[in-house]
This record gives sequence, C-alpha cells and structure tokens, in this order.
Amino acid sequence: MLLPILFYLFFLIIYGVFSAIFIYHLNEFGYHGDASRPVLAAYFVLTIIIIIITVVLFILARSISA
Amino acid sequence: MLDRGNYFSGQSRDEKIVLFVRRHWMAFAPWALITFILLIIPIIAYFYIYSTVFGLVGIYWIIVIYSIYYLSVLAIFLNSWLNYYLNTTIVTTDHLVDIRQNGLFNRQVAEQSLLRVQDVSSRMKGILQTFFRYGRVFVETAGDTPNFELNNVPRPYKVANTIIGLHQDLIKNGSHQRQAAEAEGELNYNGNNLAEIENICSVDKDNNNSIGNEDNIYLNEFDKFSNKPEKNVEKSSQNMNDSGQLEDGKIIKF
Repeated sequence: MLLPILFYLFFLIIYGVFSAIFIYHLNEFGYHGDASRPVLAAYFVLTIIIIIITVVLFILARSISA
Repeated sequence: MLDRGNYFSGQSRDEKIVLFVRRHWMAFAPWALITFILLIIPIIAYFYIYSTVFGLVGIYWIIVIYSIYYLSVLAIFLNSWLNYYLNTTIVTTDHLVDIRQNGLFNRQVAEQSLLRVQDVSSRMKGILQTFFRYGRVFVETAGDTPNFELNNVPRPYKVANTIIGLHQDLIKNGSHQRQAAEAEGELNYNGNNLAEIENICSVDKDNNNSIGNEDNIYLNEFDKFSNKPEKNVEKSSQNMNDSGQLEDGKIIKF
C-alpha cells in the first residue's frame, strides 16, 4: 500500500507545479472579466474532487481488505 | 491580469480598441471531443479488462492509476483551452496585434502599425467554416515586416473590412491633417514619411478630434452589419448607452 501512495504523492507534486504554471498564465495574460477566473475555479474544484474521491477509495479499500 | 484599456504592452494611453477577436469555438471543438473520449475510455476499459489486467495488480494501484489518469486528462484539457483562449487578435485605431499562445512556454506577440497594411484578404473554406462562419484573415504588410495570418477568426469578412477601413481612415486623417497644417502654415510637411503621419494622428488623438469620431463611425458601421444577436459577439452592457448603441471607443468582442 505504501508504494502506490508514495507514487501518487510524487505525481501530485508534479501536478501542483503544472497547476502553478497554469495559474501564472491565466493571471498574467487573461483579462479582467473574461472566462479565465471561472475556468481556473472549475479546474481547482474538479482537481479537489478527484483527489478526495481517491482518498475515500483508499480508505474504503483498506477497510475492506482489513 | 491585464486591465481593460491596457490590452497589450505597446498600447498608448489614448489608443482605442476597435476589435477584440478570439478564435472561433470550433477551433476548440476537436480538443473538447478528444477530452470527452479520454474521459470515457477508462469506464469502458473497466468492464472489458477487469478480469484480466486488474487481477494482476492490487486495488491500490488501480485507484492510483485511475486518479492520475483523470487528473492528467484535466490538465490536458486546461492546457488546450489555454492555448485556444489566449490566442487573440486586437485591432486598435493604430495597430494590429496578434497574440499567439502555443503551449505553456511559447507566447508570441506580433504588433504592426495599421499604416503598414497593404492588403487584407479573408477566406472561409470547407463546410464547417462556411456553416459556422469562421475562417482565415490574411494581412499583408509593407516591406520586410512579417505578414499576419489569423486563423479560425469568426466572421472573417467583417474583420477584414474593418482592418481595411481603419487603415484607409488612418491614411485619410493623416492626409487631411497634413493639408490643414500646410494651409495654416503651422507645419512644414513635405513628404510621405509614415512616422510623421503617425505623429500628426497622435496629436489629433490628444485633442480628441476626428479620430474619436471615426471610431464611433466604425463601431456603428460594424454594428449595422449585425441584424441579430450573434453568439460569438459579446457586447457588454457597459459598452452601450440607453438606446442600445455602442459608445465611442468601446470594444466589440468576438
């Protein structure tokens, strides 16, 4: 179980770096009042949902196997 | 974020935006379709290969692989959207600016004076472009300066006409100002130097004279073409007066 979690955490670090670059681009080159902010918000919400589902599935899998 | 009135780095204080053009949504449609296909592939795969591949790895790895896959698809989608959305063309009273975002680390901003425009052509090719009314606008510039090729532009004929009209009016205004100045003896102008014509135009803008009026004419002419509301033309309510007409110096967005 430890190896998949470590692998996943490593991926999340890389994903976080790319997300930071996305934020930079939209903040730097987007325009006030355009769709940059809503899309960025949707991106973050979806990302958090996926991560939360992953964690919940991990907990469920652990409880089932135990 | 860039503020309204400061759309690109070389924009002068009094320079007004006439057109703000984003690419047509059909340019993004293939990426949206690819993303949708990528989203449903694991769902289909789950039922087909569950008994074979999934049996070889543990449940934790399956969860991790699925999570990484969907996060990657999300990142690919945002990257493609960013490439689409940050590709813009801005036409001001003086300049043509083409901003291209090709990937996260490749951004090009090409800026050219409208006085250097020689020829503008537009083309809609194929069923999709004809049906959805988008296409290519090609702006040929004088000298060794690079030409502008604007792909997937909504309503390319109108964009081309607007650029040509602005170019002709910029020349006309420069010529009128030169004649007036020569008649009044205030300016001893005796050449076709484009830089001097630009200076005359900028002097005119400072005084809020004919340039501002010409903007209004263009916006009204542009608005006149639109007999019905179009999806790809966003007219901000802030840009309109009580009678629903566009005010001077406001922006038409595609």
